[in-house]
Amino acid sequence: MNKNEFMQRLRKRLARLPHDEYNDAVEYYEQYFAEAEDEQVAIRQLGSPDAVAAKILADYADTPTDNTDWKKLWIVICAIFAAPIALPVAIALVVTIVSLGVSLLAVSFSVMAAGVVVFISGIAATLLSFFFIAESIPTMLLLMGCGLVCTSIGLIMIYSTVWLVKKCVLGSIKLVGNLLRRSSAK
Amino acid sequence: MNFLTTAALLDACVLAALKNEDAYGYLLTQKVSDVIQVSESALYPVLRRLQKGHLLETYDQPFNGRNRRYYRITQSGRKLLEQYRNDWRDCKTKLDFILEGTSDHE
Repeated sequence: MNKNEFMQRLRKRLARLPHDEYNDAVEYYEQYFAEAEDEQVAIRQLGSPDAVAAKILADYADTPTDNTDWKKLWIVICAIFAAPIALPVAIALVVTIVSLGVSLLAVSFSVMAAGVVVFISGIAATLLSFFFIAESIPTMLLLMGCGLVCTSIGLIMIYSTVWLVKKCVLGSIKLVGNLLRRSSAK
Repeated sequence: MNFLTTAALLDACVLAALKNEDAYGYLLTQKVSDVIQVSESALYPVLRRLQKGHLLETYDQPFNGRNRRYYRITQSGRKLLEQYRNDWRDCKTKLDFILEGTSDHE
């Protein structure tokens, strides 16, 4: 057996490895032969290409790659949802999520409504304070201050709820889209 | 030496061989198989495993119109080597105690 026969046999045995594993191993042994002074001595030291390949394959099977755990987890989740018993559970889960979303929306709208009321009364109080300009300056200033504070609190309430609702709606649309894409890609 | 060829010892020897200078695969194989009885073909999986564990890293350097892939020990590789050396000293003391009937900690 010469170097070329050895490498040919080794390549054949390693063919089922992932691309980068295969390339790295083949490159290593190509370089090994290039460094060795005597081809035949090198082959004798290495042993049969089958044995060399078996060691590489055994070690590859042993070492976990980075993404197997996530892959496994995803497979488990899919398996759970594929089981017939899981269908009622899945429906309950979806209903729960939807009702949670609806109640969140309801709470947001009531906070927003309260914000509108606070905002309007703040403006009203600010305008009202001008009627006190002749009677008492301190009263006028107090009322005006309270009115301005109320106006800004109302604005904050309105803006934050609008922002929150927007985020939630966009997020759930994205989530549903991802889920649909995942399940149709399967 | 025949009776001490575990995976951990092999890892430790490869790391130790790279402690002071980088080496390419063939040279490293000769270095390690000179010291412990291990088949020349056992080294590649060890190197690959250590490389994946970020204990070694590789770089290519041209030599005589071809490529040589050198192996270099990383910072975490050095840490692990230090740990192996401590374990080895511990193991050695215990073995000396039972095989030679001597002990440092008496």
